[in-house]
Amino acid sequence: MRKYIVLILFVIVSCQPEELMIVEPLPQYEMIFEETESSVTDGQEFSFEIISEEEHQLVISKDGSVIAKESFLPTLDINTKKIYTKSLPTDLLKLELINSNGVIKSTFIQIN
Amino acid sequence: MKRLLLLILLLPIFMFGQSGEGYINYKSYKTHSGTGSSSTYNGVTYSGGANSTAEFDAMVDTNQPGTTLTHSGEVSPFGGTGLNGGHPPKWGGSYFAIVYSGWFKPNKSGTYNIRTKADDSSETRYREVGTTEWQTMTYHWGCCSYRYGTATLDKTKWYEFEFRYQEYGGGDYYYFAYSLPENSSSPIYNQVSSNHPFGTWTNVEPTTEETHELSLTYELHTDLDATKFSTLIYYECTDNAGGLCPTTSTLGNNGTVSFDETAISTDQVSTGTYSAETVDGGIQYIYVYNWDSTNERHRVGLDKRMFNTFGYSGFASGAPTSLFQSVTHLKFYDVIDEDVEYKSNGTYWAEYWLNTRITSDMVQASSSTNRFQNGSWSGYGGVAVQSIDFVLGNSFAEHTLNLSVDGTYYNDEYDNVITVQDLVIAFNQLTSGGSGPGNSGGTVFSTGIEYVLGDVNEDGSFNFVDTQLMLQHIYGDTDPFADKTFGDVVKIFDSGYDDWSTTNWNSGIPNTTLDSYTPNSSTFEQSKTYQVAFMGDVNFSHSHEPSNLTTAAQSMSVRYSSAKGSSNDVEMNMIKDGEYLKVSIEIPINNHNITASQFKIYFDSSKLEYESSDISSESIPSFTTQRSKYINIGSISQDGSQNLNGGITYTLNFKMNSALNSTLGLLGLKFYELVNSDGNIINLKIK
Repeated sequence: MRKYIVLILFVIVSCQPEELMIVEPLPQYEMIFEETESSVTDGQEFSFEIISEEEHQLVISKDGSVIAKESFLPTLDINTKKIYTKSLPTDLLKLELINSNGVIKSTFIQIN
Repeated sequence: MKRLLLLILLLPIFMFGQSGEGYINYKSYKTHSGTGSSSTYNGVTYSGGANSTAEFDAMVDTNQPGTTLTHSGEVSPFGGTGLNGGHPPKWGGSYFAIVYSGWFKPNKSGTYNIRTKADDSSETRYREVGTTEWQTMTYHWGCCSYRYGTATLDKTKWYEFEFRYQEYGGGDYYYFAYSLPENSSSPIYNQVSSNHPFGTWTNVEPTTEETHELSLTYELHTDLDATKFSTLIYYECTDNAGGLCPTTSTLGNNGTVSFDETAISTDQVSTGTYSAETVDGGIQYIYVYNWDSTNERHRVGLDKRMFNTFGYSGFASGAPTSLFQSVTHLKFYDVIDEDVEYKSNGTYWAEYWLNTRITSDMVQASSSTNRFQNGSWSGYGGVAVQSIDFVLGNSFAEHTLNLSVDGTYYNDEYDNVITVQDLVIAFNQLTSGGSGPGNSGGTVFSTGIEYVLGDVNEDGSFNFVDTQLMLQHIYGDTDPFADKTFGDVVKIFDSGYDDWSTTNWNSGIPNTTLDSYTPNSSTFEQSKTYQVAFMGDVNFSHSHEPSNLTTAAQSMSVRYSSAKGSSNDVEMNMIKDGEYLKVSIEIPINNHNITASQFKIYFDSSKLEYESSDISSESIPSFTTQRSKYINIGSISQDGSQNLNGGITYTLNFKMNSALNSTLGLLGLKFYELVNSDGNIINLKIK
């Protein structure tokens, strides 16, 4: 008889629903300057870390000549911006992050 | 039972072998009677190691009493039984000779370096199929060291080979290695193997039927991506009944493309013309006048009754002149087999000119008629033939070639074909003296092609009308070339590009990107080379540069200047100001005598709307022009009297359609050009 009771207990316990833990997803950043080269599409977001609040520039160039720029006042830590590609040449271009000290980060972006 | 099954499975292999690609033949001989003794037959003796081709021939001649064929068959060229060891079945370890034979087709064309090593004497030779003389790659009358040679081969051809070596005593082997033509200056030898096959090997004689092939080369400007271009080849493929057979191929990186017979079918089509060919007999239907030495021609008449085979009666009554005109060739016995030219037709005779003299000592048969005349039919002005066959002429269908390009690529590139440098060069040509503006007025152009390309309205005269159109194209309110297609603005030249006349430049200019080609029945492999040029592109920024170009201001347009940094760099800023995005371009004070500048600011029209421009200086005429994808802003002094040495700032104002946190890439400076009064580009960087 005890065997049956144990079996029933097993069934009851095993059929109880598990408590699900809801895990907050961590934000995903495309840290573009951590890659040596990235392929980008129109309107794509990218992120980078800033450690000073002074004005910075994002500069796109080819062979040392500037094609596009954006000046902005960043926030400390992770900043996220968008890149638009319709007015850029289909080419491998250099993307640089610049502040008053000069180029602080650099990578290549392939515009398709 | 298993053995029986295995035997049944293997039987076909034993019965039928594996001949064909991947196999070569071998013959294995016992030589020197298997003992090392010499042998003589018909006065020819061999002994020891072969010391000449003749002695080697004798060694493998089974008429020789000392030579016996012991084995023959086929092996892979790649293994130890083949050319990578030299050990097919053989009678013993000494006194033997191995002869490999078959055919190969190399993987590449060019001069291969060949290396062999054999023990003992060896000969490695080949000959092109259809030829009789062996070409020697290497030979060695002795033993054991590497021997080097070359072989110039064509990858489209088959070659017969005979590689042989003989063993007298001691070690024995044969190794074949090659180095590819591209490594000829510093050979890298690969032992022949399945990984390094050298080419296709076979022991079945290859068929060598020739096929038509057309190889095209389009010489484009080196900065253009040739793979964006295609060429279409098409022809009327159903014997004049309509219907086109088209084939399109993309150009390779080097601008070349080949069409084989599947694309350039050799189907014959009617030319619509006839050859009149005599049939022997006793009725006169032809006369031939004596040679007219003044006009260098014979006058030939065909009796019009012969044209009744086309459904007419009498003297071809009612037949249209076009019927008589359609006879373009005359085959008169064995004395005339030439093209003729229609002259006229009267009541009885259709007449033609024959421009080839039949014979220099032709006897005038009748002084009264001054023409050939059959003696037995005196009184009649003709030569007796039974009849005339009218043989409809055939030819290979004419093919049309048409160069085309990817539309997006063309739009992007054509935007920058005609720029301020072209304009300055063109103006300079027209204002630089000579006999005045027009065909040969200036002293700037050095080639005829520059005149051709400068004549943008294609009226046969290069003048200020053309520069006005170019000027409008750059900064007019409306672009006169806006509707031009690739076929309108591109020309392909098949000859004369590098020495085009500067005085008679407007004759023989190709019309379009089209050309025609008719397969030639005797020359199976044909090739054509075209130079590709854009109208208006007098600085050859997008056109193939003629080799005779000496024009000083020929430097290419620089989309992205790579000049070393200098204090004169152009400063560009893109600033977000409320709902506006502004771009400013500042040319600083300088001493470059810049008389023309042009900047193309491309903008994302889905997010920005162009509003206005500001130009800081009025010391030189400036322009701002809105095009669909970009704003064109700059300055130009048409006579070169003003310049930008004092500096200038161009500002463009765009309104954002919505609030945007990011603006990177909404504006892009994809092209700029700074030109001095000589038409030379000033290489300043944008920073």
